Amino acid sequence: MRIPCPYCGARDAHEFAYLGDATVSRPDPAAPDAEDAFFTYAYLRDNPDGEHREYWYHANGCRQWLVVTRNTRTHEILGASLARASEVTA
Amino acid sequence: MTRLAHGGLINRARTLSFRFDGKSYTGHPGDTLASALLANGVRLMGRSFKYHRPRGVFTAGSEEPNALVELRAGARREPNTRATTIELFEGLEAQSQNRWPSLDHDLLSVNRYLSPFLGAGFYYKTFMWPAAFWEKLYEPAIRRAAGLGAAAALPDPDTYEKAFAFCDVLVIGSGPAGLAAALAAGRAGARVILAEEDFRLGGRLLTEQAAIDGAPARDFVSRAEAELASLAHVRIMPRTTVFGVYDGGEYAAVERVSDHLAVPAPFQPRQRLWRIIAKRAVLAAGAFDRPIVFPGNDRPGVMTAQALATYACRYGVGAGATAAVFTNNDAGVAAALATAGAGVKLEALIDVRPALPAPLAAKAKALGVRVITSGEVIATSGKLLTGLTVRSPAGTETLAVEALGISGGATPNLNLTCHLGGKPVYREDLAAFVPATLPPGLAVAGAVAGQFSLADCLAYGTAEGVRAAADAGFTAPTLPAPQAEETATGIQPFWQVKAKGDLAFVDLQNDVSAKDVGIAHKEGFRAVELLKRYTTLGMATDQGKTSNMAGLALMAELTGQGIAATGTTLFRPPYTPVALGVLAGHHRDKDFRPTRPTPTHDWAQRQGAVFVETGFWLRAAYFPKPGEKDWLESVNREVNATRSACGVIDVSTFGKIDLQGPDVGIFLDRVYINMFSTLAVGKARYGVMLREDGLVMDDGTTARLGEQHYVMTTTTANAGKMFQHLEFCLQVLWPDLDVQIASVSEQWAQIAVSGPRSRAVLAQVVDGADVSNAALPFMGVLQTTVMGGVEARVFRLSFSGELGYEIAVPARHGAALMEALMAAGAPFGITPYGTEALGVLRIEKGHVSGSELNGQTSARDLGLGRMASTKKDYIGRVLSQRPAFLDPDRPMFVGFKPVDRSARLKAGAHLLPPGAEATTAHDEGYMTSVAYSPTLGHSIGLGFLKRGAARIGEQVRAFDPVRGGDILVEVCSPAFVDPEGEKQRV
Amino acid sequence: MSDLLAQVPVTRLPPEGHYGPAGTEGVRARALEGLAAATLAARKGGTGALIARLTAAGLPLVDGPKVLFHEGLTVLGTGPGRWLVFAENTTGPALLAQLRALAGDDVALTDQSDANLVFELTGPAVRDALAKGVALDLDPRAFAPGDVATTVVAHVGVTLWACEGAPTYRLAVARSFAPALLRWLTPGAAPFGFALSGTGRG
Repeated sequence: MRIPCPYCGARDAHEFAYLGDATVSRPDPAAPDAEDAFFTYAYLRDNPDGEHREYWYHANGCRQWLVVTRNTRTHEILGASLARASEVTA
Repeated sequence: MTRLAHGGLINRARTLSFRFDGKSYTGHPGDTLASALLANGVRLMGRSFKYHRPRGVFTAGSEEPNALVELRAGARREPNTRATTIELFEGLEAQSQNRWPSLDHDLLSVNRYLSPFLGAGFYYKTFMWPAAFWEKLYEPAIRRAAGLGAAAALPDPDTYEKAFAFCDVLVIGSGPAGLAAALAAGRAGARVILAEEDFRLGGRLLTEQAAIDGAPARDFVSRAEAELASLAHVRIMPRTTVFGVYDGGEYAAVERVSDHLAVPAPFQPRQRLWRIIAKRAVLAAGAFDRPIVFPGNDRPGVMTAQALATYACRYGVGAGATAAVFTNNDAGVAAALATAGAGVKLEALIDVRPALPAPLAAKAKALGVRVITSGEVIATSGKLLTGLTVRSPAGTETLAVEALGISGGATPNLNLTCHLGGKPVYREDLAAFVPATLPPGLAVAGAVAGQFSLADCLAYGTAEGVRAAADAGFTAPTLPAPQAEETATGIQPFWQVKAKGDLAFVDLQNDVSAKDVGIAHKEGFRAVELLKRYTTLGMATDQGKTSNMAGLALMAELTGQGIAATGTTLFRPPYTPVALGVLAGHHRDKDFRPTRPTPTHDWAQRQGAVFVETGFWLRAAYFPKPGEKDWLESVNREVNATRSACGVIDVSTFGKIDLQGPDVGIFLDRVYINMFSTLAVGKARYGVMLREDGLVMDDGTTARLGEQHYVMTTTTANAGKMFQHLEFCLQVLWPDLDVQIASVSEQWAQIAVSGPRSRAVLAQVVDGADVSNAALPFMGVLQTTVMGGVEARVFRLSFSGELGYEIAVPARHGAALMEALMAAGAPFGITPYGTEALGVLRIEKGHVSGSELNGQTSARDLGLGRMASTKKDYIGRVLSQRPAFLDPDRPMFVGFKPVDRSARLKAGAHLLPPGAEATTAHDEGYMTSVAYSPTLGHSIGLGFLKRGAARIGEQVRAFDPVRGGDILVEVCSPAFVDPEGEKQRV
Repeated sequence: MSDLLAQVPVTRLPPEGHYGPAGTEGVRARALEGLAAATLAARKGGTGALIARLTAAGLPLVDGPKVLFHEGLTVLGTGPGRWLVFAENTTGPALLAQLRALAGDDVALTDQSDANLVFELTGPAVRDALAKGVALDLDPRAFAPGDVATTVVAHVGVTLWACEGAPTYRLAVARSFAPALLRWLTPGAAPFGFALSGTGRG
């Protein structure tokens, strides 16, 4: 599998470390429901069929965290962007 | 001898000698082991898997189910190699397998009389009870009786390597479609790789009798090969099997660099694993001839009609003195005619159809071949084939033949199209499954796509080559496709001769007969996937390349569902068996993984250190001295020297991360549970990091070198992971923070000097800096120079509990610093220590390490809860406040001493109340780290005990049922040495 | 494991010398001595300003995997807003001072002079040898002089850049991983004839 790193170009997936769901974001720790929100953030994950946005770290490359759009059914990589530049929606 | 007088792509001018089962034979360059054996009249090549029936060669390619041999001898012995693909070389040595004591007289062939008991599902039915008998009795017996070859038990003397290749168009297979595709893409200017598993290009063209562009097909092969070789951007890879298709246009292939040689040439590997990244690929893998099921269809001498023709035309070998062909299709007829044309005496062509197409009938007549129409072979005779019984409207007759070619039609070799989940579809008009959904970027051309005629292969091959090149961005004018006469492809589906008699085999490799398919049907294992598992049809080294179609056709007939609805099993990589050695490449033995030496490695080796692997690192474990009787004596000496005078250890393996920027303090406050923004410049602080779920992730010290400059240390094990974590925090969680981080793990060598005399030692290596307690207090940091101008950072830290320093210098100076410290400390008896003594020192001091930071413990569990700041948020804070983490009954970090001081503690022991039954319900915790403490003179341990901190002085039971241990221990403070921490502050 | 290195400790660089068939020299590798190195990172949001400042100073920095050569400096793009700089015949502190003068105070500079070893690889078969572990298309059409890649070879992280001249590459590898890297390269390059220098006599 090859991942199109926005900085390095297409690279073998072995260069990357996988983290998972990029559609979740760290809750506000000061919110009144913080404990529930953090529980959800830490443990609950969807496993969608089809397109999914995932965090991958280019560990053996530019050391950037990427948001990779991948089809979980076909493994097709539909795109990748730098996580720090991407709009991550909850 | 059955070598034909003429023909074949063999070099008759040269003779190669080889041995099979100890007997000497000769062959020629261009032969395979199978063709050379046939040329020598050797028709018996193996014994079958279950019944030990005599078997001969069945195909002329990699789909071979029968002729599996052990190739070479000694350390190079390789089991289950296919005689049909082994290129003959001088001195080749091969043995038949799965027989005892000899191939000709195999005592285990009695199994064939047990066939009523060895049918489908016999493993499942027979060996069910008693369960204990399976491992001890049944399995070993079955493994001896039913099996394949034996691997060499010696280390492989050869080397293997991996390589990457990138191309615009990968063409897999070099038959008519593959050559046409490679020519078209190559002419367009695309970077082309043409991979061919055979040692010779051409595929079916090497046997083909039809003309291309008005010349013999073989001439076309030569011209195409020459043109491709002349193109600089085309790489021809013979002896290369593409065995897997992977995501993103990646293909895996094995190149048999040296398998055609007795031993590899100097410096050359035996095989090379290729990972080919192709923008486009054209699969032109052709098709297999498939058998017809009839009684006794496994006798040596029975083979596919295409194999019979290939041996005759390509190798100049008659597979028998006399032969016949039994078929249902035009390609089978063409194979028969090619065989006869090559000079094999063909007794009859038996076709199930009522008539041959007129042009083929005319050719048969011209060659003088007797044609039996509406005919069926209903029996065979001989241990090695001697005769056939043929049934036709004219009656039943017997024919004396030594070889029978059978052709039930072409099965497209679509294995690779399934690797990403593609499901083939059945085409009634072709009586074959053809690829439907294809891997992205891969096209199919020729017989694999059901385009069976020669003209179609060339036309579609050209078209797909042009298209693939265009998709990759190459649009050069193309030349017309090579032209060939149309070859007939008619077929009348026919799977099984209905006749009583001997077993009628569906799968030769697994000894699955038509009867077994019937049993599977009767017992309800009707889906193809169940049929495969229940009968083993399609398993093992050939994965049913020749057998799957007949098996599922028989099942379709039994269920009345039709073949399309029955479907086919799918294929996964690898297409053919791949040696583990080539997958490992150079990563074996000492090169299994990288070894990282510390900056002082060579110095430690000169001191006689014993090393231990920690991750990729090789660290000194201890430094034995002459006369010491075991490692413990050495370790005790190192610990005592450190506590009484001075010890020294290389700690360069810690992860070291440089942090700069205006927001570093805020950032560290968010990743550590304690405060770092308030840390003074020139000070260091111990910190603990949590995961977001509230459990401890890592610990270490971080020092503030400047207003906006910190340096963090992580544990050796987590160095990479922590850098990744910090990058995640900075890039994903808080991209607003202005912090730049860089790994400096490799830049700095770091050496710890510990013990009451360490200050005196340090004072001698620094270039005049004041290292007094006042100038450099506990947790102080000094940026200075050592050894006459070498930049250094001195951190006053202590892992041992003694007065101690860690001195960092640029890595190239690490060994010199160690030498300087040793020289400076010599008068005090400075002693190098290794990771073992490091462990003892920290356990005596009650410092946590990897065994305690085990992913199940919170800061509070570790007794570090008071470090957590309440003035800020940090990763893991919210979830670390969950009730379960605050439960007073949670196991807490404490120390243990054996009540009987001579007893030895064991890490991993569970803690139980004295007298309580050893059940999970009574489990109160566990021991994580133990050591013999030379300071205390007995075994000590650390661990987690329910309400531990409140139970100091109590006795509990340390129970270790796994390794045998059940002793009473006394609960104590984890700090066995200097609990007030005074020694490190002097 | 290759017999070639059976006698070489895994912790040491293979000794200099010739490996492979006598009279062949398809690949030459040389360890470069006396290099200083530093990482240069822009402050948050400061990449544009840094590039502008350095370009004005005659160093037209690029925020991408490209290499620049400027007055003895080799500047390699290793990540967004990050560069790895090598300099010949100088020291780490001197290089930091030089870069500080060029780039100003608003950058992160870290001395890495001892972190890496740098090898120069050249010869007619150098691409074939590198292809045995580098998962990059090294064809000049895909990886031309001036291109940089940070990647992994046989479990070892490397930064590789293409230089001018009949195929020549330079490669930086972490000091502790250098023996492992050469243990991969040596048997792979030996079939072409491999001349190794600068690694000492073993």
